[in-house]
Amino acid sequence: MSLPAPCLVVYASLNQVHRVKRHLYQGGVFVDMVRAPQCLGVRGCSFALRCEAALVPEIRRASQELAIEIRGVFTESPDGYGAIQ
Amino acid sequence: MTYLDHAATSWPKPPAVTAAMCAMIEQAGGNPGRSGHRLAMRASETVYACRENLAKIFGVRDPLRICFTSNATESLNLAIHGLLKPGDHAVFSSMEHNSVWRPLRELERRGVGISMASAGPDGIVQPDSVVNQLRPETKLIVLLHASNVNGALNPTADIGCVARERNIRFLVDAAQTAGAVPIDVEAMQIDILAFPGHKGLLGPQGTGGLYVHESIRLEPLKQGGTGSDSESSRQPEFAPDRYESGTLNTPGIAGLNEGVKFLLERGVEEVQRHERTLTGRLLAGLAEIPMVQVYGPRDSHHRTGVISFNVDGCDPVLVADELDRDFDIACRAGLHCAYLAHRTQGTEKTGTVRFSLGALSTERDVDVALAAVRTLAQKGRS
Repeated sequence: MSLPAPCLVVYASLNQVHRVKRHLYQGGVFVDMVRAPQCLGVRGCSFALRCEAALVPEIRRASQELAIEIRGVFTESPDGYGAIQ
Repeated sequence: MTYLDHAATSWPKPPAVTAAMCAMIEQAGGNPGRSGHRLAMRASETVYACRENLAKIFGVRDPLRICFTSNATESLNLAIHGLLKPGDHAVFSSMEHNSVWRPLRELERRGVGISMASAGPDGIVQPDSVVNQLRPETKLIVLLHASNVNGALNPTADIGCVARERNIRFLVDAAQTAGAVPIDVEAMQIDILAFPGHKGLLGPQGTGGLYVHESIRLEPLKQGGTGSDSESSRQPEFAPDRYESGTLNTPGIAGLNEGVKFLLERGVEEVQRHERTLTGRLLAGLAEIPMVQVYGPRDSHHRTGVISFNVDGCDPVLVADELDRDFDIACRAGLHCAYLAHRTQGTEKTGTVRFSLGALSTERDVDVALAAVRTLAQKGRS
């Protein structure tokens, strides 16, 4: 059985990633953070939260609450990346 | 060594400060916010933790509104140069440090109006004195929370109220109070807070920071790499990246984080209570020594543990030298980079000897200092 594809929620800056990550952590949600691959085409040297797809809505909510812009959400698979609206 | 120079920099630091700096260099020495490898990510976690702890200690809701600088002077320059444009007007006090006075005088040459609010004879700046200097075009009030010369503690929240009621930005220089006196930027209506990391916050030298309210957009002091929006030729709009070009002092920030954690554990209120007790003891002791003149408020509730004095007929620099050489006491003498404040209290020609207490000062430090000054005063009289 294959695991669900993880998602990358991309932000402009690692500072913003930390802010959202800590906010989620305080609510009992743990997510990883990574450098966003350049091929995603998101502006600049971005960083991302790496999580299961089921957590994306919660991350969107947290980002909205913190007034931090998400620059893109992508699925990650061995075949590459796919943008999620 | 009896160390009474905490207003210049605190010493010694809690052992965890040194340990964290060494660990950062030896075990997590990556560049935060640039690379994505584990060392860099670990370093960035410490930097963010420090931001979060600073936010906690100053009552800041969003840690991203705190940017790191190398000292309070850089923070003040960023705030003053970043906010004021030709045609604007700023009010400052007659007790300000050169790190406020000089940038303002520089901006005055470029068309910014500036006015000075006079402190009282004790060095305290009353709100009315500030109000009297306001103009329709006043954009900024700059005030030091407490004097680095005589310890006078300003009614900062009241002056914050004056600023907020008139929609004027309020910049507070917390060089002498961050970590030593409770500060809540919301309650005190502070829009911009400049602080050093190496004094009351117990971090290493080369650290400092600036809190900037989310409604304020400063022009950055420097431009360059931020690890974000790299395809753009302009600085990012978002904080703290906008104000933090170039590699941070990560080992220093790791040390600062431990200093702040130490204070959060002990409580800034407790530090203030401790310093007040010692200040009262030092003031009472100095008052009993003939030929010694002490400056600033007499009541320890209206001051910090920064105490300026002179021994009649003695050059303060020579007194400080003697205290160092013969009594193993470290203190500072001279004008303390605050000519305005010395002019206000009438010591601009002589300067003063300054004892300054810190969170780790002890009753023994105070008693050793008093015995030494007593001996010097007796010697001066004979």
